[in-house]
Amino acid sequence: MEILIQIVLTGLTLGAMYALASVGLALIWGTLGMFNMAQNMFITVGAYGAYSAIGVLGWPIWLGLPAGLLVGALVGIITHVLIVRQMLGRPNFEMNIMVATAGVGIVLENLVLQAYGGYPYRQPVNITGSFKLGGVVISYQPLMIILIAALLIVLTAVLLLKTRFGRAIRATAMNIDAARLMGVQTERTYLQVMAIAGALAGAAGVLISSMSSLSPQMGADPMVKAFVICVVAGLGNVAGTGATAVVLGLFEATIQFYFGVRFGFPAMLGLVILVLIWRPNGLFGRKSVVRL
Amino acid sequence: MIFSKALRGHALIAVLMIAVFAALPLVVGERYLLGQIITFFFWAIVASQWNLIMGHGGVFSLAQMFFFACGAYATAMMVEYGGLSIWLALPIAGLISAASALLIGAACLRLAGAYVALLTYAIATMVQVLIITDTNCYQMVNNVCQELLGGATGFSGFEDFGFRKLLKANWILGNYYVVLAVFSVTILVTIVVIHGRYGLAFRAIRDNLGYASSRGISRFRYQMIVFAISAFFTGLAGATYGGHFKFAGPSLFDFSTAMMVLSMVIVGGLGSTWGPIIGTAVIMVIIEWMKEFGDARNLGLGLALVLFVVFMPGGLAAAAKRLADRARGSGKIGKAAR
Amino acid sequence: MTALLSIENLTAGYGKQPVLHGVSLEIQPKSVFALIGPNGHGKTTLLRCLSGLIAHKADKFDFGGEDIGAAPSHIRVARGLIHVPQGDLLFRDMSVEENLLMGAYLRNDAGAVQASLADVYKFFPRLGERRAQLANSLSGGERRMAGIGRGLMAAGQFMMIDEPSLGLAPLIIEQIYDGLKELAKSGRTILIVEENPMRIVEIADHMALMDGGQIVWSGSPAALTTEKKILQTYFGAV
Repeated sequence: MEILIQIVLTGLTLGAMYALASVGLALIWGTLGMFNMAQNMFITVGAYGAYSAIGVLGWPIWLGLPAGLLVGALVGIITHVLIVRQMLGRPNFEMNIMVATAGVGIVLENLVLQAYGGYPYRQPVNITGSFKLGGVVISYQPLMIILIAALLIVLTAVLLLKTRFGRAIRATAMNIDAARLMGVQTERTYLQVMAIAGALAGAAGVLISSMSSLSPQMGADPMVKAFVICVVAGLGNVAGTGATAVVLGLFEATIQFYFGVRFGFPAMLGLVILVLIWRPNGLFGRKSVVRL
Repeated sequence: MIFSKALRGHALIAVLMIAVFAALPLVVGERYLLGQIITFFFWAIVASQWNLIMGHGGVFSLAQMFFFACGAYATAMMVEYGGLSIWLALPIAGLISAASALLIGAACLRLAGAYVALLTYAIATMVQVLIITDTNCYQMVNNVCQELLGGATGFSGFEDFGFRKLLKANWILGNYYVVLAVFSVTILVTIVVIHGRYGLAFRAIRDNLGYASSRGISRFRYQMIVFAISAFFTGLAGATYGGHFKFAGPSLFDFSTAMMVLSMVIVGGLGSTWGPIIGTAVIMVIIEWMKEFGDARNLGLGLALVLFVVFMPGGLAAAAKRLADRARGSGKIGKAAR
Repeated sequence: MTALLSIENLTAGYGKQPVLHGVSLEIQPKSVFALIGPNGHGKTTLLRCLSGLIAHKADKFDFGGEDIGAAPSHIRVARGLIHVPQGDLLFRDMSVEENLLMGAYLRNDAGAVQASLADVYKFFPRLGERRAQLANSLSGGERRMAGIGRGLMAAGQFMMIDEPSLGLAPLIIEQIYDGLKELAKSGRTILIVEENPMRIVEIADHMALMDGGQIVWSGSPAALTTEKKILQTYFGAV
């Protein structure tokens, strides 16, 4: 029983962090048709942003998460304005934007390295303490992570489904010409998507670093997993991505417990490849291309 | 085989270039410079194969450095564990890389373009992590634990080409010509692929997939073939790299190395013929220049990547072509001649 | 009477290929204008230029008395220039009702929007029955109705409908055209694009024939029936 609780808790925590890291990515893919290879840095700068806001600017700890959201959104906006916007109509966009955002990621990583060095600072945004449940010691920290992630994702879902603003985003993702014909300012919609995705990634960064520590490369691993999750869920499906993240988090926790930490990701990847063979467009994805 | 005019033209340029490189050691004696040129050969090969599979084959593969590392590791392990002669290990390593490409391709290539990029990226990352985190000692070497796949330190100090014994102080010349040989074969075969039947097939696939399929050109089959070819030569380059530097380690899987080579491809011009060579040279010059800036070296690379993709998507090759066309006075830019 | 829409010498193309070679036309308010002609000769392109989806140049492009040649799509929609595109382009993962509400995206008055919605359901009862269904589960005819309904929801001054009969069975086309006849009677300004003029001749006030990216004939429906040569060339034996 204790093992089960432990695995479920670890799995949900992982799933929560992955979900935050992936939902933004899915949103960007669904709306802009773009793979954001700078996602790792959106995550990282959010973490460092919270750290600096509290440590350097002296903000109170509970503003750390909003700081991460803000910095993430800013990076998303800047990336869009400087780069994505120029490349949107061009041929070979899919491939070129991956390379461009990869470049952005490298630049950002280096800037973070220059500014902070490689020292693994502790993320001040965290909660200490624990309680006992069924003979298992449960810390507040992972619970906080799960709660915050769930909150942010529900908020995003409400935003997308219930607001006019969210409907514009979904419409743009489904059919950009039709969206324009409804009077949606699609350029502004893209900007909004990049900001939201950046904010979510920034929050993921704050939460992830609260469990380990800050480092300029901290976003690399979450990004790979986020990509994998998005692919399995079916690119662009935001709701499916969240669910898949949680499932994969639980799966990874289980494998890690029984076979060792290093096999967590390979097992996940193996599962992903199997899923893709069975369903080439992802679990919830839709066939949009005529197979030839 | 179609020996089109374009094919012959490019092959001629290649032969001339190889001749120049062959004669170069007569003029350049400095070991450091020769070493740099050898390194140039390695990256140029990887860049050319990456350009082949991505720019011509249309496969967004992020596994190219994986194949490179595969070749290096296979060579190191065959020589160290199996006692194989390195000359035998080289082509076998290339074949092993090609085989892994077929495996990966079978899993990935039927999927949409972006999926391939992600999966190849994920696979490469995963293998690196698996290698680094392996702590089981496969055997003890001089009382030092040696993991099966080399662990975090990798393989080093194994048997190389043996030129130190033969040429003594001029051993680097021996390595130089070996690498040049691999480079030459790679470039020539690549030109044949790009400008021969396969190139035609890929252009057909790119221009009108439906029609190409109806004529019996299976995109999957062609992509698999080119994927395997590119993996073979990339693996061969990796194997030769291992032989030259006597090293094969997990740093070869680093994403930053992959990005460096990718920027060589992009800066040179994705989809061109000579872009990879130009790009490799340019990036290596930039890296050399940025060595003064220490840590910020990657910054320059990242910037170069972004600037080129945004402002010069055709790379230097396309820019050079535009200049050449303007100089020649013609208004049309022919795609085939690139 | 000043024209609601007036364009002169409009040119446009895809990349370096020009498709429209100097199109000029005028559309009077409260009339039905039919744009006919063989497919692939610029009719859809013209509509996409009018709604701002494609870049274009024109000597004159006035709508409602104002020059909108440089205005982006959303401004044109805000001014009441509504385009119901060819092939419907419905938001496939949204329900019928959500699609219709998207049509009213720029409208602020919730009450008026609900009233419009009720009107659309009265107009196309089938849509009302299917209001909660996802758009991609509709039949061809229902999709067409949803597209037109979505355009109606914008409550614009001018509605352009691109090929309302495209891909539909004759019986369904009848239904759609019954609806269009109602719209025409209600005094709206409508432009309808059709390849075949047979049905549209009944409701149009004015017609123009487009061929090779140019208007080659324009006049009243009555006049068309006397243009034997045109009828022969474009529509086969009369």
